[in-house]
Amino acid sequence: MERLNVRDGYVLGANQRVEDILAADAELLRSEGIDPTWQGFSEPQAS
Amino acid sequence: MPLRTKRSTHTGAKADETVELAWRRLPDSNRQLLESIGAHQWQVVRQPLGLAAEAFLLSAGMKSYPLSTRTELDQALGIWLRELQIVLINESHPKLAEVDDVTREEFIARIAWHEWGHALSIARCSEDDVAAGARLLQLAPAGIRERVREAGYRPREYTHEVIAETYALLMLRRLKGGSGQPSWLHDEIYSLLKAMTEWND
Repeated sequence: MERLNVRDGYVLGANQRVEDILAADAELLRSEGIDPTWQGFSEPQAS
Repeated sequence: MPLRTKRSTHTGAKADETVELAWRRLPDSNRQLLESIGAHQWQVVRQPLGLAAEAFLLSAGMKSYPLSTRTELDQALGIWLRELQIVLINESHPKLAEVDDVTREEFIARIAWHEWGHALSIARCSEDDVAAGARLLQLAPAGIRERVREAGYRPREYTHEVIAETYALLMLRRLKGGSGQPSWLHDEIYSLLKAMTEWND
């Protein structure tokens, strides 16, 4: 079997923060009218 | 049933519960697909992933990695350990230590979705798909493009990273009621993601 590629891991750059990644996600969701606020795993509210 | 983790601490139990909930919120067809390729097990650990992966390999009677590989894996927040068909997540990673509990939960779920997307991509992408990585990365949303570039992935890893990141993002979106092709996602990436993951929202 093929050995693990060393970059099969999820890595952030040295200057990247978790908040930066989530902020980029949030911007995309917001652009289509979706509230990006994390509310856990609750079911989405009907609009 | 996914492998359950050792719940040695309260924090560990919480992170494990997060991954369990992330798993349950996958579309049924995706869970079945992940099970079919053997990517339905995970473990949340509190140690660098190079060290954790080595322990898993040795306990399975397999050869460990060279020190250089282990050192690189130690930087990861999550890995798909394909030799043993298990996702490992390091909840004690320094990048997670900097955030509040809500952000931490969201990001741990995101890592899990990323790794499941990654496992599907590795199992199902063709050589042509892999070769198209640089172009796909150029078509990806800016946030994904920047993360992949800044983390130093190689061009042959771009396709898998684009699929995995997009998959994680679509899961976040799905949790909030979003469905269908997002306006911000290029047709080519959406088509490939649907083919690789059987995404059918």
